[in-house]
Amino acid sequence: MKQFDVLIIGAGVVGNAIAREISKKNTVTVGVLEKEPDTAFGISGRNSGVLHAGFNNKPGSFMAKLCVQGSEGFEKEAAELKLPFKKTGKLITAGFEEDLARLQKLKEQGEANGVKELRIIGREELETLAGYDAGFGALWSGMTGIFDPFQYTIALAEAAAEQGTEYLFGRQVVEIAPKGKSQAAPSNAAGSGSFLVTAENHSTGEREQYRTEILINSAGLFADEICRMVGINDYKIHPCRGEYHILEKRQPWLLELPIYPIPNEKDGGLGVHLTPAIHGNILIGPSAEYLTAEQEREEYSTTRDVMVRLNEEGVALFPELNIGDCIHSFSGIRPKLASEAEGGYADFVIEESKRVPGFIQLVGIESPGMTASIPIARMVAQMTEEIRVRNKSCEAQWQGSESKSAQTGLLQAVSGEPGDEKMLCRCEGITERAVLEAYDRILYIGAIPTVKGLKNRTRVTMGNCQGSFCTINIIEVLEKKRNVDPLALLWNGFGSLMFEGRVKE
Amino acid sequence: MRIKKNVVVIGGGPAGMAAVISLKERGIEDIILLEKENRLGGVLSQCIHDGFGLIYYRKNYSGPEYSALYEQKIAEKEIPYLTEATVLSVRSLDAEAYRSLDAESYRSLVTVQTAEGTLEYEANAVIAATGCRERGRGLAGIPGTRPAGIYTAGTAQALINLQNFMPGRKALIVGSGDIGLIMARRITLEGGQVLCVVEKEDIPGGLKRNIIQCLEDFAIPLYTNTIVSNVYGKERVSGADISQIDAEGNVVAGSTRFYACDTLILSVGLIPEEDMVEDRHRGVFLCGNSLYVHDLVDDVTLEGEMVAGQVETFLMKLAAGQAPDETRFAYPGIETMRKKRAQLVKRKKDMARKKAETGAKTITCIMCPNSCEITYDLEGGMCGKGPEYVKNEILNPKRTLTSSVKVTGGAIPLVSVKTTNGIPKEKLMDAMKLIAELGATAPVVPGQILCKDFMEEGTDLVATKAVKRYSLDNTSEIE
Repeated sequence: MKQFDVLIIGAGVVGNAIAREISKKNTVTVGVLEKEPDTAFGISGRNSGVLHAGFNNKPGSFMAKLCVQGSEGFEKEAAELKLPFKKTGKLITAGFEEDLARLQKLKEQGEANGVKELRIIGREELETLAGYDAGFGALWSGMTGIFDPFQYTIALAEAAAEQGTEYLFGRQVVEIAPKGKSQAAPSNAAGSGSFLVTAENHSTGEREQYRTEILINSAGLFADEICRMVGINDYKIHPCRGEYHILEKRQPWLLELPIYPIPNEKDGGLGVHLTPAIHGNILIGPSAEYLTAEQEREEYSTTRDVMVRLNEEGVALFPELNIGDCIHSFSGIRPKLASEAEGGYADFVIEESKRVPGFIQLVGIESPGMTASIPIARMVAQMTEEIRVRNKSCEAQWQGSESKSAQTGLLQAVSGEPGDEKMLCRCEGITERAVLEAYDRILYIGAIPTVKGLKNRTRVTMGNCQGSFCTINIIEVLEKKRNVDPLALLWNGFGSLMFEGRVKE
Repeated sequence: MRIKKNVVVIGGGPAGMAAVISLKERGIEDIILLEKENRLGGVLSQCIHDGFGLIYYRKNYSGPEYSALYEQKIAEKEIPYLTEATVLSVRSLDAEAYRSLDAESYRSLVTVQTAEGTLEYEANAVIAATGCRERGRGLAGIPGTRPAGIYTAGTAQALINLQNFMPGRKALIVGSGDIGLIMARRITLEGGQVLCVVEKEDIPGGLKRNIIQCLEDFAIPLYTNTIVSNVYGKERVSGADISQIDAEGNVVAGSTRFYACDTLILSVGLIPEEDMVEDRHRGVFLCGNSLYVHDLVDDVTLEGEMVAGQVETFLMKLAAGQAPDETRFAYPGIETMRKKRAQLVKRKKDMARKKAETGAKTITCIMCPNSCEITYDLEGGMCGKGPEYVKNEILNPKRTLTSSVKVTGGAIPLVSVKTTNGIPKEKLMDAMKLIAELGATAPVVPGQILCKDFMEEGTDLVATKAVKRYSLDNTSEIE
């Protein structure tokens, strides 16, 4: 049985940031369990890719505090992670004259949160900044920026892995038992909770067990279910789906910065907005629809009604928008702690459970969770340290029986074989070498190779052809240069086989 | 590395091959053909079905055979070409002149990515014969989940015909473009089930002859004014809803039906792909599908040859110190082609109306893309082949069968094949069973008989493509 000092559930952006933060101390063994084949497969890879400034959040909340911290420190972190980041600024536009007062309130809220570079601008300046007559006025936020959410989440995982974090992909947690204590009567406050975690391995179909001193619940959409496994029934996640359209890069006009309408206070999201992606595409979205109780948590479908509505709202924001240029539609899901009836707003829960010591719970980490991910990680690392100090004084601490992961070296560069510079994806300008390197990087963090994983790392299949040319090239190069069996290659999740056998056996 | 060339032709498909051969024939030297794949032929290599060259050559070639005509000429005329060479951009060499609009700017800088790195060509003229790409799911606006099992028709065609992968066993075809129709037949012949073809317009997109020989022959239903309104399945496609739409594009209430399937094949249109051409200065010429999408390769060939003529004039004027023609893009055949297409659509509609009005029974001749309606009295038809076809169609309908045979020891896993004559329509599936049991050993040459007296005496199954042998260490191709 594998033993860890700290075991994290969920390899999303927050789980990865926590793993990176804690594994900076090389005396701590850190593991991450993730049910999907790879990192950034859930909500971390399904959002606008915007670094928020923090004016949308209630003063005094975790959301406000951690978002502002994340926003201020991001440029430095991005440089360290070699992550392209563009501080574009952002406009929140007033579509009607009466919205101007709300803009002022938003600015004041932001200033109460400590957000810098906020300014109310008039119609003319708005037109200059937006490039078109976008409304009666706007709130200008200079701290806002854009980045690639896949790259960010993956870079955090790679940094964590490099520091010795052991990633265990395809492991879905099914049961958690505090060791040596009956589940019915959780430990008293002074005890050192040590957990026995049972996970189903989706690759082998077998159950595996892990032991850990500290367990961190960073399970995103499923955080409430993980809580229930340790006997905490306080939370219920209300999944709220947001659909997006992606427009092709070549447009007759240039969108340089995100443009949001002033938030509708009722729907619990930020409203359908236009965001330039860091790679040059334009996103329209997201919508906000609460999933029903009958729907699956991860119902990432797009729907005909919303797709039509996004087009309409996109055009309302920017009349010259050519909705015929939509090359892809997708959705993300916000793990909300408050239901639609409750107004959709609740602060992040980030704490060590009082009833289950050693169990750190992160529940309701929705927007601005990505911006706040590193400050959240620092907070959690601090809690972890305190628990370890406390536990040491209580009982002799066990030592991890297995030596620290051997993956301490740098990422192995793909050897420069002649022929690797061949262009594999013309739309996005990606060479065979880049795809092979991405493949190796997937293996490096212990993830299971999928086309989606290659896409998230390189942008292959994300261009105008949407994979109609390059899918074939990907298969060919993996088969030829990495001995991958295409019949076993996954498209995205487990079971997503791409082919139904050979044409001619 | 920067190399000077007289003319650079981008794209080794039918348009580019026709253009470069025509340039050579016109005595234009110092030319090069660039192709991004590891072989010439473009999309023709995967189009193993027949019907190519019916107009231009009055012969019925398969895609690989049609391609071979041009590959051979390129070899004979020793025209230099580079494979695995992807053009990243075409810009004006005199960028300043181009942008200022005061001075003339003719010459181009072509940046190319090869397996070994980047190189540049300085060219007096560039022909971009870069083809087109398929419209995908996003552009078609298909809602639902995003599981494995959704392919564009061209991708499915390459998977099945070049790579030996079966994309699925139970498919629904979205869109009635020609490739979609061809793939409906191809999947059916290879043992898959095609539930139906849905088309959102009120008339099918593909040629009439393909509706007949790809759908009607196999009793595959085609639903017009119909869309896919939802896709189901988490890992792999598990099904789709199809719904009728009214004239405004709204779903007709109560018309939605669920189909269980494992694959969606999208044939929802093609888009000219010329976005590597960044500067639109004189000296850059377009032809083939990079200009507009053609129904027939014959027209593409013709345009390739015509654009070579335009380049010849352009170069002569340059050499004589005269200003070249104003056209910054050559649209050699576009007007003719547009008219032709409009006529074809009009004829289709006229015939359908006439048929409905008079109630006259006709049979559509599928010998060529004209798709003439021939009456039972053997009247009608433009080329004279119609009556013979109709006689056969009534007495003993036959079809040329195209498929593939597995190759051992080859550089590619499959060789495309065809029957030398038509075989009885009702025996097509039996013939496929026989083909499944056949095998070939590399090298295979085009025309090589893989099964003599296949199905009936005097009709053979022959290879339509060359397959080279792979050496034992599996690293290099040998002849």
